[in-house]
Amino acid sequence: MPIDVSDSVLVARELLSVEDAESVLDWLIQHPHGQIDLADCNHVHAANFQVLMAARPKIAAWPQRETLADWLRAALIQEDTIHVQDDSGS
Amino acid sequence: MKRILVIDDAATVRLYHRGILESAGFEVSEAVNGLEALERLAEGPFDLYLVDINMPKLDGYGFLRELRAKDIPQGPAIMVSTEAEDNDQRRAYASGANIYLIKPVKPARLLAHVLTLLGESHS
Amino acid sequence: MNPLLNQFLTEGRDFLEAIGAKLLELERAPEQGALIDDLFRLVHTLKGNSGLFDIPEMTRVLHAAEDLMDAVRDGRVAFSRELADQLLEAMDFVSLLIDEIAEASTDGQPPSTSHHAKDAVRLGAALRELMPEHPQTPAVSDAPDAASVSAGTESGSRPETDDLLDNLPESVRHDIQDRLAAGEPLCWLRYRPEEECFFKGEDPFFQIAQLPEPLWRRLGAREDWPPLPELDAYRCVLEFELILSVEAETLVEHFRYVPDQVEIRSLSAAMPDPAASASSSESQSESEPSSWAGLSPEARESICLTLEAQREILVLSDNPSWLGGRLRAVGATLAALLTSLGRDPAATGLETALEAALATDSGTYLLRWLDHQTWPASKPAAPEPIAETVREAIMAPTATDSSPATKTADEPVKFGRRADDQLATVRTLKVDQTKIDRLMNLIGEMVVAKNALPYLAARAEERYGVRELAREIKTQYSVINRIAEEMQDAIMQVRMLPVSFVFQRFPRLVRDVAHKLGKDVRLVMEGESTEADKNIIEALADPLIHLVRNSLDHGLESPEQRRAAGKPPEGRLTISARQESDRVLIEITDDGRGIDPDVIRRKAYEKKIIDETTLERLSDQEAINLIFAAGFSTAEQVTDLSGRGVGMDVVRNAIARVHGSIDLRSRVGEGTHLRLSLPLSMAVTNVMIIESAGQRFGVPMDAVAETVRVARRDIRVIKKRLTTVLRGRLVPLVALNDLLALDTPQIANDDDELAVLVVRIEKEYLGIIVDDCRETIDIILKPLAGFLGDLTGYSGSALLGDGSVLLILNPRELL
Repeated sequence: MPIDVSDSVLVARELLSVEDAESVLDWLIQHPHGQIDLADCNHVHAANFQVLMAARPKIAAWPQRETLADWLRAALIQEDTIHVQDDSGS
Repeated sequence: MKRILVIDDAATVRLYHRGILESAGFEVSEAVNGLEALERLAEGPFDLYLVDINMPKLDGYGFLRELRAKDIPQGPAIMVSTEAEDNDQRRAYASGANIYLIKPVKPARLLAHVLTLLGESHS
Repeated sequence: MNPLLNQFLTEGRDFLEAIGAKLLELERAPEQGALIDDLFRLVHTLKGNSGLFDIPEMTRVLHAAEDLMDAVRDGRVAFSRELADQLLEAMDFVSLLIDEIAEASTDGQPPSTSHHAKDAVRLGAALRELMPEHPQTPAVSDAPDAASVSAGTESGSRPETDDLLDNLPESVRHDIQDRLAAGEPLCWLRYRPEEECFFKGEDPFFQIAQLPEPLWRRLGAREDWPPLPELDAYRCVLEFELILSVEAETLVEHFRYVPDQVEIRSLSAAMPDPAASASSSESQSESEPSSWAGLSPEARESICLTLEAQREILVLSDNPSWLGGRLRAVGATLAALLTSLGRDPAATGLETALEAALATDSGTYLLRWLDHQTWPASKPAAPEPIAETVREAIMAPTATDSSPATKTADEPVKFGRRADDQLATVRTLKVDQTKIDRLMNLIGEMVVAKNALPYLAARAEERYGVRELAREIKTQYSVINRIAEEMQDAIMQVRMLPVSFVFQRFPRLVRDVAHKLGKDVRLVMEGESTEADKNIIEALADPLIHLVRNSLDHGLESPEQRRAAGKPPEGRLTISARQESDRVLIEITDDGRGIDPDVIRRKAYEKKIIDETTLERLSDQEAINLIFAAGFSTAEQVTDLSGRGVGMDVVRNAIARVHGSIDLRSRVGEGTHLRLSLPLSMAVTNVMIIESAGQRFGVPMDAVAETVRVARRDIRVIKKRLTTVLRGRLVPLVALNDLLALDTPQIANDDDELAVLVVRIEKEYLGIIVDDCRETIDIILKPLAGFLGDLTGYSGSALLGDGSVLLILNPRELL
């Protein structure tokens, strides 16, 4: 079970799949002030991205995984966040 | 006016091609299969042929072979297919096609090819 | 509607019908190669047509069907019932899409059918499932577009890339400048996944996350986000923009399955690097005459492809009989290409090369000539090639080029006028039914108006005493009468439909029902081209379907039962139509178990439809006819096929409503034969006018057996019913006023005789007492409209010559 919900926080773990998007959306509709905890999340399917972008919930914890966190920040933080990677060694 | 023969068993495709070609000022004739296309040659050779492959009675390859065996001015032929396979392309060329295009051909692309093959300026 | 779309829909429906028919035929004779070829061609062509429009769901399913049929054609897959089922289901889906498009299309564009994406994916997968080796990824339909990576002109891409850099934050810009200066290859990428991509199992974010860390990124949406409750989480509107430090080719490769959804620009070429741009323009001017620089991307592409194709043709080593013609066609193609580029073919020595080629029966000389010419390069000769898909190159408008050719290409092609031009060659008109109905109404009024002339003639003679004028009016009347009758006939012809309109669904129906019931049935149809009035044909549809279902369900036995009865295991169902004078006869015959009159007798008695005395008196045929009695159903159990609460009585009434009759014969063990007899047209009806309670009514003559005067004293009351004896036969009587719930006694004449209209209903005679019987006339029957339509007992109304309205009674429903 990748999603645990309480009254105010949705905790997503490992992977939010395409099927999960519907559940996340429903939860956010029912909990307009709900927060999302993504600390242990490794990947979210793009459908979830859309839901999060449309809802802009408060993120209780950003993913520990940097690449995902970077993209989520780029998507969810209102201002055009510029994320310059000075030296990624790529 | 340059005359183009559109050979296709699908009326929709013929209408599509006719719309594009006539809007560019060419005269368009139609045939619903290779056999009918050969009959249309009695009106005199065409300046360009737009040939479908899969047709009842006589398919596009068959038509082109018959056409190329005739002692008449040989206008270029565009073979229009839905197959992107190499084999079909080679077969088209061997039968006498001069270019092989994959359906659907966007109007701008088709028109460019027609202009090239009819010796019309692109500008 | 856009005529092209319209044409597609019409042709599409024809194709679907043909595909359905061929599939059923194939099932009967799976070894027929010609049928398989036909079927493949139909599916193939339909797929091609659908590709002209933006209906990816339809194209996807048809593509899968085409691949499957191709496999069947090649013998890689055997034709099976399962395969036919799957294909039929796919075609039903396509049919549904076509209907939806036909309904919703307003501005000439097909509506989005993306809500069917799931079904399309499922059906496509189901079809591919049937193939021995279903490919991992279906071939991208416009593969060559994506595969041949070429590039647009520099003038086309540079301003845009400049804009792009301008919009970047200052820090990022500096970073990029520095990296470019250091020779790092940088690319700008925009990825707009298509809306339905989630249904195709794609995860655009996964695609993006697989890329190296971008230098800059932006994640947006193509449209504003709606309030959450209205959000469709599964319609992808995401848009990714990135700048990365990778080669463009890497990105092209990374996104090779979605080339139409990405834009890729190499930034190296776009940066203000004096050295690079100088060398690029130099190399271009070296190899190409300046006049070619202005060529549109399409023109450039067509020239390159044409040259390439001619090379391929010339290197072919076969030596067919048509080689000469083929070489000359190459010559003509090359000459046209030169002319198109503004060069004189004669000055290039092309003709000499062609002659040499013809003389040696080989393409060598032409190839050599080709090699000596200078041609426009397919890619601009820049040191760092800009990787773009051809599609992208075509879309990029060239800033400087506003030549007429480009304009023509960019403008949407207008089909409307061309379609008008084509009218001259159209031989079949498609006419809206309401227009025909209007003609029908008009001719109806004309017939009525015409009928006023004899009245006028009579008045002229009797009232004004001008016999001469009366005769002239009568002469004119006969002329107008003839023309009116011909017109009527002509309009009737227009309304004629072949019975195939109804018959065409039987092959599928019989197949599906028979499969469901586990029966083997061979359907034979005859006389499908027999025609009858549209109303009749349409009224026939439901009853016929019911009868056919009945035959399948109750008539034909299972293969085991048939074998046990010494019959061939395959049942036979024949549906035939033919015209006999002014009637259409439709016969449904099966060689099933037949109807057992004893079973019917018993059931009818159990259901209290007949009493004990009748039970004994009934002949076998009479017993069988009880099947038509209201509330009778022979089925032991109600199946979901024919037992839908509709009995044979409903069928008979439906047939009777259009003045048809039904006749049933059956022999136990041998089968059942049903015969429907219907009028060819129902437009003109001969009615008798009767009077009752001061009103006039019409009664269709085909129901009237005779009219008699019955003395009141000859009317007896037997078992509380009025009866009289006519020609030695006991005939029950009812008063019309009672039937119509009019609280008035019928009026007798001076001799105390009552007027009785004897009608025949299913071989039973019944006398209807009226006040008076009058003349018979021809009328055009119009169904009762509005709330009157719910009234039973009337079959419609008609306008009379004097302008009054006559209600036409339906004796069957009255009782």
